[in-house]
Amino acid sequence: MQKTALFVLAVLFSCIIRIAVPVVESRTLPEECEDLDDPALSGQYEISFFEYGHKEDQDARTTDISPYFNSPQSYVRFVRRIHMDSVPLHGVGYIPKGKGPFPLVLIVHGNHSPRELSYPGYDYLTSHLATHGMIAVSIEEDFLNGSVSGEMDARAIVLLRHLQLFREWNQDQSHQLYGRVNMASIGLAGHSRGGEAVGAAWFFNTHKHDPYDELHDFNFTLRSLFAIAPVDGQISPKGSVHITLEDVDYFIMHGSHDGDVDDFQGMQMYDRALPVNRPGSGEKGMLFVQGANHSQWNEVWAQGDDPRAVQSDIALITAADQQQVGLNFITAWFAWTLQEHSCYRLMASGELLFNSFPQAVVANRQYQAGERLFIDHYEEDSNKNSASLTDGINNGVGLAEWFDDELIPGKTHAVFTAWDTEGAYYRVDLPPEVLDGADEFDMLAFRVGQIYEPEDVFNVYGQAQDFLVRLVVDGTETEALPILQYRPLVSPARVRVCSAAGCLFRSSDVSKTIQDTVRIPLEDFNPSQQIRPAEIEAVIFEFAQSPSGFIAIDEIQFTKQ
Amino acid sequence: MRLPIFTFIAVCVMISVTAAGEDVSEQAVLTSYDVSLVNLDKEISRVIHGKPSSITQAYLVRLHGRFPAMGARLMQLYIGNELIEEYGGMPSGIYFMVYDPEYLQALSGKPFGYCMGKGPIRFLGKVFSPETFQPFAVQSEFSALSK
Repeated sequence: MQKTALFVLAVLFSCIIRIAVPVVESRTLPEECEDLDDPALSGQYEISFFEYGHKEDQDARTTDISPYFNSPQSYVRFVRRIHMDSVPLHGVGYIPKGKGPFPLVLIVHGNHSPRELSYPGYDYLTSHLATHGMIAVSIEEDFLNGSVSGEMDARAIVLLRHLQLFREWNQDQSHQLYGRVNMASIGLAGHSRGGEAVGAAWFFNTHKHDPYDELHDFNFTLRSLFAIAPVDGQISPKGSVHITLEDVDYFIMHGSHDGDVDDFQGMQMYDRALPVNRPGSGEKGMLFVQGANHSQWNEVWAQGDDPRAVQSDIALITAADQQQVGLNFITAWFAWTLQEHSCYRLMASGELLFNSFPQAVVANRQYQAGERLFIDHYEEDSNKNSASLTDGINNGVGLAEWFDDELIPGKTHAVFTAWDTEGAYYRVDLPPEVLDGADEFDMLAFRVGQIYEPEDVFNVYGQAQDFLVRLVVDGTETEALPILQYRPLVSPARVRVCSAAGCLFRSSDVSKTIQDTVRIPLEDFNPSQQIRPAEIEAVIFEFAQSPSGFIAIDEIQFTKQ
Repeated sequence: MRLPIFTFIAVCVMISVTAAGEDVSEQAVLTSYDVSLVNLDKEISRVIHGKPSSITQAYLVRLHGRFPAMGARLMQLYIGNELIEEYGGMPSGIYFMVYDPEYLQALSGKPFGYCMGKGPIRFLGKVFSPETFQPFAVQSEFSALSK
């Protein structure tokens, strides 16, 4: 109680002490990317409004999801008069003008009161995506909303039934969409429970596919998923199914001030995606926005509040700024993964940010390329001395703390290192010959973040951390490069979620350790001479830029630019 | 000077009392429950004991009370250690259907509980005893769930 009261007083009387870390452009952009358009700008296409399945639609369709879920909110059953054996396939969005074919993006909302329709809340996204040459539709699943449980599979099935419609229309000469939908380039986006639903739809797309059952004739080419503040695990509350995404690109976005999914459980789906022990089969990225909440991603929900208020010295960002961030990244992500505008990958990888990104907003970014060779991912055992790369050796010298452990939020293990003396370092010695044949890789990358500390012990709240990285190449140490040159390691946001009685009476600390991905071209270690991975004998992390610090490092790897 | 001091003391007492309680927004309160038989508006199919079955009637269990706000996070409902995976909302609380009489019997005598996320299962103060509602009233879904 005393701590809570003191914290409240500190918040009441303190000024904002966050240091807005400037956006760092880590390196010179490739020549072909120098004229890249800001994704927040409208695209070149004129667009037309498109709605189907509404009351005036003569061809409105319904679908039976009662085998999956038959316990709707009574408002849905008896006021909206929707029965689970005939739920509407209703979508609203925009189509670019032109012959096409255009990639298709479906966006689905999450759980909310069914008395307030949620699906209109993504108009700002669908209209914008359409100007960039994508058919973008927000689909209705308000009939699955309420005080409900066990409906997650139905949410996914409805998504797939909508895709069946688009496949049909694309082949129907009498339909306006005939030949205009690129069914080989489909993206799904979802918010909140809808965020897990897109992963579940990916799973059912193959696992429930039956070409002889018209209700389950799926097997669509789902190329890319985008999850906004998703939940994880509701597809199987008993825990028997954990969706592990593979062969698909995946992006997740979340906010520090999320007063609903305050545990960032979606990070578990992210960490499971594209497993480290299998060849890379897709790309994934993560954006954690300091000051963003749960509701403001949806224009309808934004008019209210999250179920629980949060308390932080970082102000809640405005709905306009939050939606601008969302629009920025969802456009860039789908432009890259569905339209092969590869330069937009630089936004996901943290190497590029446009001026339209709200300048005062601080965000953590992670990115995992499909092609990678892991040195250390810390998943194979609990021996802190053994690297993931066979015969590699990890060693910590002069460290105040050094251990491998699970990193939360998420589903990954990392190495935790703390220092408070000069000369401390963490070194990974690479085995000889293992990297022969790895010449295709020209970049060192890893995830790293400041450990959240309720009180300053090793880190200083509000200050970015920094340290050096150098390589040992053919027995010679290279130049040491500061991490700050590539990614600012921002201080974790201190956030408490409050009870319904208010922040004054009870709150819980929901602050998190969030990592960023640092990507360093090997040429930066020695501009005068090309470095091949086979020549690298060790990677050294030297903690010499600040008097103390406590960080978690994960997924040290060679990858490609 | 006394008034501000008394106000401060009162606030401290309120803080100490409330801090001992739970987060109200995530609290479930079960006031009462009942069990009846409902004639389903439409036949549905379910797998019972490994066999696909067509169901026209089901046991309806209604829980009256206050439950966490509708949002992303899931309130997991338990009877004993058995998770009730599917339930829906109604004006006075939540409900779930049981299609297999053996399952209904298996749940008998076990306490209602709930949890949010990975938290512990919290007892809702009542034990599930369907036999106390026998002979079960038979009603339509509309009668049972619309009020």
